[in-house]
Parts: sequence; structure tokens; C-alpha cells
Amino acid sequence: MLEKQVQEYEAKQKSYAKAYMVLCLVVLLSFGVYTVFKTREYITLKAGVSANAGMIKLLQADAVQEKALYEVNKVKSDEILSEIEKKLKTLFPESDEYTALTRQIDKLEEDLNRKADPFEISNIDYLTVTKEGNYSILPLRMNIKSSGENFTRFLHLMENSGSLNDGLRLMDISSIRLSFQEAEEEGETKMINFTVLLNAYFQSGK
Amino acid sequence: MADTLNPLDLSDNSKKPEESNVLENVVAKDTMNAPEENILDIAPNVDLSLLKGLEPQKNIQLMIFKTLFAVILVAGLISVVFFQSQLTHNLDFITDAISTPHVLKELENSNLEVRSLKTDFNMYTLLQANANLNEITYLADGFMQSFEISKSQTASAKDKSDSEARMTSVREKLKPLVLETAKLMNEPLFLPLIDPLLSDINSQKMAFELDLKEKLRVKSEDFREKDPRLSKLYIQTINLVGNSTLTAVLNGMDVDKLRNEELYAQLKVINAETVNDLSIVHDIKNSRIKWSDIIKEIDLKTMAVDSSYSEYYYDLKGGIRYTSYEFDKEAKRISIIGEILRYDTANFTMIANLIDSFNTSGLFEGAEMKSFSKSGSIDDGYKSSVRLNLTLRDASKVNLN
Repeated sequence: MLEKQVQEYEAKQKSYAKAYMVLCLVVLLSFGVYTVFKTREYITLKAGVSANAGMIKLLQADAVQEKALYEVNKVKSDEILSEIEKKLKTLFPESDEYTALTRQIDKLEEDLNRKADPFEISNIDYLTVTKEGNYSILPLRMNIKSSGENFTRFLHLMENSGSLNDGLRLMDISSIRLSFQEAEEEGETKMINFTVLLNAYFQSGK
Repeated sequence: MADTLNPLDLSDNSKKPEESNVLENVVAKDTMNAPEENILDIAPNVDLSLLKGLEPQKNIQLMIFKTLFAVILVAGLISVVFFQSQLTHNLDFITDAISTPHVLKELENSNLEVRSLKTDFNMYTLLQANANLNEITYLADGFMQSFEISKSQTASAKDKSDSEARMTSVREKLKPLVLETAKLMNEPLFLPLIDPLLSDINSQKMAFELDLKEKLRVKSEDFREKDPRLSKLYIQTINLVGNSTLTAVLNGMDVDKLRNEELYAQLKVINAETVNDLSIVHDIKNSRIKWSDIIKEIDLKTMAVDSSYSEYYYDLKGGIRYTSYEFDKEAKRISIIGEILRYDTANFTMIANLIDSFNTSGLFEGAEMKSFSKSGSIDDGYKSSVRLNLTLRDASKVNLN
């Protein structure tokens, strides 16, 4: 009987050994797989750190170079900006500047008006300023007596106003009411009497 | 009795005793003569408790595997702790306390440095692009004005020829600027990084763009008081970050090959996509109506009905004469008042033809008049009044010549 017990004991030991062997394999496999994957990840991150070190050196040099280039170009760019700002002060001023506008309109009349080709502004009425988002509008109404050709020239001037080239205040025709005046004598220029409502623009909030 | 055991039972049954005749004879003699009696005493009981203290022989394999298991477990745990400390922030309190290297932290820090340096580089690149775009929009303003004059139906021949010359001159200046700006805008704003948090390229790209926008915003704040113009430039440059429309237009802009119409259209897109001091001016200009072209169109549509449309012929031969116009931009409405003089009686046909002619225009629509009347005589001619209300089609179409 003792022998049997001893045999049983030995058998049990053997089965324990087998169980441990299996356990060893399972744990080894689990940790092995974990370690392999994590080692790869570790190597990737290490490679990233190393690659970044190289990139940082290059970028430091590039950023300095790009800044220097910007500083060189900035001189020219500042000149252009100053020119734009200067011209904008006239064509898109910071306030309604109605007196300056009046002088511009007067100059315009002077340039167009000829004896054979009249362009006469009889009155200018400035209306209430309105605000439209990023800009404000100064409406003005004018009564004008003009030849047909000067009427077209006036339309062109209004349509092309606000250009940096000619510096005429940025304006827009809101409405026109015109009537044709009969020529009193044969060969006389046919005149147009018109009332025009203009919008003169300026910058908001200033 | 269960605990007692006959010692003979412990002997090996397999072993057979040696055969001896002497013993056999003695036993035989005694047993034959004497009554039957036990030779050995009763078998003594064995106390098994004595065996309890004895260690059974250990299995070597089991010991090896147990040891091996322990070794694997410890090694595995060391591996877990190591990788957790290097690849995550779970054990930062340990790595920080003993100041050991931390590869994830190193990577994150170097990634931040790369992003910061690249952001600096990007900022100066886009500031240059913005400066170029300011110059382009400045030149575009002149080009567009000249183009509109050249296409105007009412501008003089001299004005048109001057405009053509100006456009050619602007083209020369635009060409190198557009090429250089396209190059700057094509500069990639990001660098591919190994970043466990931003694994895909799009997320990384977005992160670089956000860094750049934030940097520009902060710079703008810094210069708000000191240098308002520079502050404004930083803010305007934000609009260029990731502006694919602008980049696409600049890339496809071959200034030499583009016709004036095409260049005009592309400059308009550049103006719309660029934020600078001229942006509002461009927006206002784009919303304007070219009334001179509307009046010209009215004349052309009238001539299609009355081939001798003019004041001079009206008095001689009759025809159409307008006495007043009303144009209203807000209501998009045009009112035309006039009269028709005929020496035959076809006044109503002429009015009907005029309505149809106006309705074929691309600039306006909705010409309608449902009450017709005329007065006069065969000698003095017949007069009819015309009063037509037209609606402008689409402001954008009206603008585009």
C-alpha cells in the first residue's frame, strides 16, 4: 500500500511537472509576444527620436534662412503697403470725408464741362450715413445737366472709381432718373437732365 | 487493524527463496510428529506515522519547470514594467523620481520642437506669400480696371488702346510674382512625424496648421499696439493657411498663356481669396452695376426694332424716342418712358417687337406692357406712348461685361 502511495505521489509529481511545463510555455509565449511587439514599438519611437534630432538641426537652419529672406523682402513689401494705404486714404477713407469728396466732384465737373459739351452740377445733397458690415456708405444726390457724351463719361468715371491708379473716391450709382431735353435750335447738343443717387464708401468704425 | 501491516508483506514476492533440502526435511519431520503449532509469533504492527516525517524523493523535472516558470514570470514582469515605463505615461511617477530616460517623453518633446521650428519656417514662408499677394492684388486692381474699360461698350477707342497697353505692362510684372507666390504656397506646412497620438497624416497636417494659425494670432496680438500694420499682416496671413483654392489658382495660372478674360477671372478669384486692405474695395466693386452697358444694351435692343433709331431720324421718319430712364440698383429695376411716331399705323407692332427684343437681352428681363394706345393722323403721323419696366437679371452677370 505504501508503495502504491509512493507511486501515486510520483505520478502526481510528474503531472505537476507537465502542468508547469505547459504553464511555462503559455507564459513564455504571452510575454514573448508582448515583448516582441513592444520592442518593435520601442525601436520605432527610438528611431523617431533619432530622426527628429536630424530634422531639428535642418529646421533650425531653414527657419533662420527663411526669416532672413522675409526680412529682405519686407522692405519692398512695406513700400507697397505704404503706397496702398496712402491711396486708400483718398479712395476709401477712414471717415466720410465729405468735404474732400465735394472737392473731388467739383474737380470732376471742371474736367468735363466744356461750352460745346456741358456738364453742370446744380446741387449736391449729402444724406444720412448708413453702415453695412465692414464699411459705411455716405449717400449723396446730385442734379446734373449734361451732354450725352459727358453723361457716358460720368458713368464710366463712377463705374471705375475706387481704382488705385486714379485715386477717385470709391463710389457706386444707386439710382439715376434722367430725362432728355429737346434741343432748342437745330444743331444744338441734345442735353440730358439727370438726378443721380450715389453711394460714396468709407471704412467703418473709424 | 487498518494501520497494522505484516512485515512479510513488505518482502518482495517476486523473489523466490532458495531451495534447501535440510530445512525441508526438518520441517517435514517435526510436522509429521508434533501437533501443529506456530513457529513465528504474530506479525508486529507497523506504525505508519513514523513514515510521515520522511521526505519523498523530489521530481527533478518538476523542480526545473517550477524554477523556469518563476524565471519567465519575473522576466516577463520586468519586460512589462520596462515597456510601460518607456511607452506610456503610466509609470511616470517612477521614471520622474529616479530620472531615467523615457523614450515616449523624448519623442514627444522632440516632436514639439520639430513642430515649433516648422511653424516658424511656415510663418515666414506665408508672410512672404502674403506680401506677394498684396502686390498681386495691387497690380490686379489696375489690370481689372483696364480690362473693364477695354471691354466696355461705350469707352472711347483711345481709352481702350491705353487699357490694352496697361494690361500688357501689368502682365509682365505679374508673371514672376505669381510663380514665386505659387512656389511659396506649395511649400508643405507639415512634416510626417512618428507620433502615437497623431497617427494619420491628416491629423498631423491639421495639427501643424493649427499651430501656425495660433502662432500668427499670438504674433498679431503682440504687435497690436507696437506696430498695427504688422499686426494686421499676421492676421491676414491666417487666411492663407491651408487655402487650397488660392494655391490651385496660382498653380494653374500661366500668365503668358492666359487670355485677358481668363486672367481677369483668375485675378478676381485671387482677390476674393486674399484678405487685405483692398478686399472690401474689391467686394464693393464686384457688386457695382455697369449702367453705361445697360444703356448701351437698351440702345442696341431698340436698334434691332428701329434700324434708324436716333433723334435725327425720329423727326424725319418717325420711330422710337425715349424721354426718360429710371435705374434703381436696390430694386434692380429699370423704367423706360418714350414714344413711338409712325407714319403708317403699325405703332402697336413696333411696341410688341420692342418688348420681345428687350426680353431677349442677357442683362434684363420682364419687359411688359399690356395697354396700347395711339393718336394722330395720316398726315402728322401716329404717336404712341411707351412705358416699360425691366428687371435686371443677375447683378453678377451684369458686372461681367
